[in-house]
Amino acid sequence: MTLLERDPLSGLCPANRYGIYCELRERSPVYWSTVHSSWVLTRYADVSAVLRHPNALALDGAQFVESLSQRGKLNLASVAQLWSSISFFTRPPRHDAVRRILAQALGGIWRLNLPDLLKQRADRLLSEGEREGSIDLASGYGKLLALFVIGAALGVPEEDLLELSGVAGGMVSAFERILPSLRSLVKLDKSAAPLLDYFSRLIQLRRRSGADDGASLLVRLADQQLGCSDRELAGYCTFFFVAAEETTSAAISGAAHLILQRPALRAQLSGDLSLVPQAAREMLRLVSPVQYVWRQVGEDLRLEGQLIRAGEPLMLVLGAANRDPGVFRNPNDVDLERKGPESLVFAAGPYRCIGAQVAAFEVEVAMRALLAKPRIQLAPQPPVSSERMNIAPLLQLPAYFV
Amino acid sequence: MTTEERLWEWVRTHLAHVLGVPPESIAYQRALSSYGLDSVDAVLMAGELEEAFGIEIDPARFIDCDSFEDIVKTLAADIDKSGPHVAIS
Ligand code: HEM
Repeated sequence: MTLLERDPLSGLCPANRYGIYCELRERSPVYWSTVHSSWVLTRYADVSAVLRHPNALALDGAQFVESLSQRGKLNLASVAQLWSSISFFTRPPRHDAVRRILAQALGGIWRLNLPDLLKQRADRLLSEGEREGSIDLASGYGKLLALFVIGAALGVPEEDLLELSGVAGGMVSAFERILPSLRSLVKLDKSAAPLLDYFSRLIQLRRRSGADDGASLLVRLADQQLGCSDRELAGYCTFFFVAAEETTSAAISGAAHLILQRPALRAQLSGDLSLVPQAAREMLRLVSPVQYVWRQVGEDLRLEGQLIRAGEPLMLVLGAANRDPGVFRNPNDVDLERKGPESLVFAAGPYRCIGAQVAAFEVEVAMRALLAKPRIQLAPQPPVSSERMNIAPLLQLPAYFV
Repeated sequence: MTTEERLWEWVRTHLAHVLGVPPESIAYQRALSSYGLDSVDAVLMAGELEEAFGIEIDPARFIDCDSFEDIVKTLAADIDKSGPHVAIS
């Protein structure tokens, strides 16, 4: 490990992240960050190796909140409930069981004729914008499409979605840092409570009068396979909502931004829509809606000559691995001919995103609908991004119709 | 008392209480981890310090600093810079 003068991660934000990753990847690919109290990995090979390491585990977030509440005599009941429902904070064998039912519940959405519904929704949003002359491709497109899908998956009535999303946004900041401040946890507890209440009510409604939707399916699966309480189930729904919304929203608006900035690429894709899936993969790689994830290894590990001791936390920077020039030549370009390994946008290994297929599909649908509107252009006002370090979607991406 | 002295006084009293030892036995030159305290303690202490001094503190700073002196000095500088609106009780 080379010693860098000051922790490059101290000023990390979406505007400067790629420069910082580059510096780390070249000079100190296995770097101990004082800002994050963890090792920071930025090379594709190292990140991939840890993700797939048989003895690499997610952090035990639930245990941490539990100890904090006990020792500090604090009431963090809602955060504790929610944390124990976050599947990537749980470990085997519980993790396998939770992951299975979440995946089965998600699989249910393909019965809903999702492809057609989503396409109709994307077309409708863009056509409304066309009539009005302008559209915000972040708040009025990416975000609404992401909400539409997760709403359909969970059986949340459409009129509730935006309000839920407002509250859920507070949860995402919990993934910024390995050590949350007490202040942020107390705040989180306040936003977790109404989400859990909402989904508890939804579950009780579905129990009384089952519907053919995701919540009903989740209730049935959980009763058969997990035997958990309705409050726990509400935790899984909340986590699902949080995991799916801002990530997909970031992916769609990020992809829209990349396409509209590149007229030649746009023309090429419009001329041959069969290139869209490969383009979507490239967009996802470049946007990397989840910039980093955390792990611990259960045994000592040597990476790039550096010894990592068992139990030390690792921050795996997916966003840096996905632009590693050693693996992705000209990493900042959209390359429709790119061969080689999959990007790590959905992580890999035992905690790999179960929504990956759905999310990639959403991006493709959103791109096709956008390509069908040749008159749409980016507005002169610059886009506005969230200031978060990890999951930081565009908040505004103003566009207009010429 | 300077801000630095007040902060150190607070940290020392707090730790003495958590560890059940006399405040004099907590040394300025040592680190949190050398007293066997972990990340949960760091988050709790940072949280209480925030309330007492009206500042924002990243708990990671306690985990990773080499001595209390390091962090107390930085925090004191932050507080003095941020001026009179900071309530020091
Ligand atoms: C572009 C959009 C998305 C991205 C970039 C993304 C990324 C990720 C990543 C990186 C992880 C691993 C977390 C870790 O290892 O700590 C993950 C896990 C997960 N994601 Fe996604 N995700 C997306 C969309 C979705 C959607 C749409 C859903 C559900 C409808 C979803 C559900 C989940 C779940 C349940 C997990 C936990 C898996 C486990 O614990 O085994 N994600 N996602």
